[in-house]
Amino acid sequence: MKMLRSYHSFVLRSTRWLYFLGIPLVTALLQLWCSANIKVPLGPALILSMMLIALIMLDQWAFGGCCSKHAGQIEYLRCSVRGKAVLRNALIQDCALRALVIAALVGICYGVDYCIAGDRLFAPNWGLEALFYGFLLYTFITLGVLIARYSTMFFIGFLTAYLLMQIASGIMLLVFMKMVPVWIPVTVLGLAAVLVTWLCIRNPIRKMERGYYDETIEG
Amino acid sequence: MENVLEIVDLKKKFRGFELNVKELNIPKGFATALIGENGAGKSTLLNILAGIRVDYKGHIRYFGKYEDGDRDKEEYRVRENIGYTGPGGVFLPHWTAKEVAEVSEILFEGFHRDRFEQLCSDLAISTTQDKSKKFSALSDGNKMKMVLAAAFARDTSLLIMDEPASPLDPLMRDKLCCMIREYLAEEEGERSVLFSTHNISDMENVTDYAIIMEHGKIVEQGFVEDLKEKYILVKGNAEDAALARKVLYSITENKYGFEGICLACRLDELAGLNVEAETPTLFQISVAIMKQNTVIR
Repeated sequence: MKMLRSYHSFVLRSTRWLYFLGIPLVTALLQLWCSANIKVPLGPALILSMMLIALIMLDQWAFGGCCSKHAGQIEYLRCSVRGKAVLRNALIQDCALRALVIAALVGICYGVDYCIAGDRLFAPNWGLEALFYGFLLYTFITLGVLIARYSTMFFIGFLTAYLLMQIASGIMLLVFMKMVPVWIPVTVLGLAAVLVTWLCIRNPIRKMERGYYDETIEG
Repeated sequence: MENVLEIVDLKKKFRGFELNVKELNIPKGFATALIGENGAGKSTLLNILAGIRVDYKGHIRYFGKYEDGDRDKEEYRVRENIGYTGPGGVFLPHWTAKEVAEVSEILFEGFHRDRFEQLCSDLAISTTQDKSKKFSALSDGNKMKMVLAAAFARDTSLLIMDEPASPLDPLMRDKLCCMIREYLAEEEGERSVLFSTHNISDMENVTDYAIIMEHGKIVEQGFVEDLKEKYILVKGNAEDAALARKVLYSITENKYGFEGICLACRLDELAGLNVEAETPTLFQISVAIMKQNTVIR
């Protein structure tokens, strides 16, 4: 309960509505349109690329700029003995909920596709492919969030998201064109996901800890 | 007399600045003003005392019994008993009054949501328009009001406030003085306030003890009433200005006369001159002492 309250302190109700309802709803509608109109199994790749930008941008209203040079807001947390724990709880929950939302989005894409077009658009190894999309999305969004938190400028967040979307699309294309066996990116992305999650939790906490120090004391 | 804070050999160097406080005691049960020009080290000292900067050498004793090493032990409740208000963006930019209350409830055991809401209402920051406003969208004055409301809504024994009056209008400064007086009166001598200010005149009626800092050092300190006995305001005719200058701490001249501050014990040295002696204000004492130590010409 405490962990949930910590998360709620950083993420506004309106942002949570968008995160947990708005984005899944838009994903379902887009997938509905794709399944009905595009006759190749590109829907999940297209939609999930767009959601990558949306989910990175949403973080700007939650932990935006928390690792930036002038993150004075963490001063309030530093006044309390519980400040570090509150921030850590919120960050852990943020990563966990992001993983859940992404799993839901991938599920929605495949579910809607199946309901509209049956399994004729599904690749034979669609399970591994879904896992690939999930890991790719999670790793790139978490990486984007990690980078964007170092700036308070909205534009930097958008630019980061856009560049990462381009790279993610490239990787999706490689897999889609069967230029790389899907288990390779799944393995690499799985490991990368662990690394970026660790950094995404560690860096803001380190920023907060460093806030206690200006410079090395001389004399 | 008991002290809420006892500081011994406090040193901190950074970016060419050196804070060097040999000994400083903040009396318990009083409002203490920290006065000094820009860059004197007031904020650095307050940040160290509030525990949001820990890179210093020296010793600080809190509430007469806890060392600075005890500050982060939850059982000693040192941080819990200190309320801090800073001049910058203390809260996350997107927080509204509701989020401030929610996060404060998690961070501080002694936070009272009802008191916070009452203070927001009293300070006119919870009007229907402002209630849903993000912290970053508030004016500087309203930002400070919200920070003050969050600090005063907690059960604390010591309030450390860095420039609380600067962004406030005169009416709100008066209200802040009332809030400080009420805060001190509530626990009858158990609560203390330490604040830095450039608005000495506005805050004088709530200041019991004054500390004047220059270049990272304490150059004067004492109860305001004692300082007003130690220093004296002297006014005289223009022709006596040259002689008076040798005795006065600071002097302001025009073609009709002069006025300045001198140590009361040196008033005899002005015997024979046509001068009037008056009790100075804290503002006049502070400015005179700062003029003695400043590099501004």
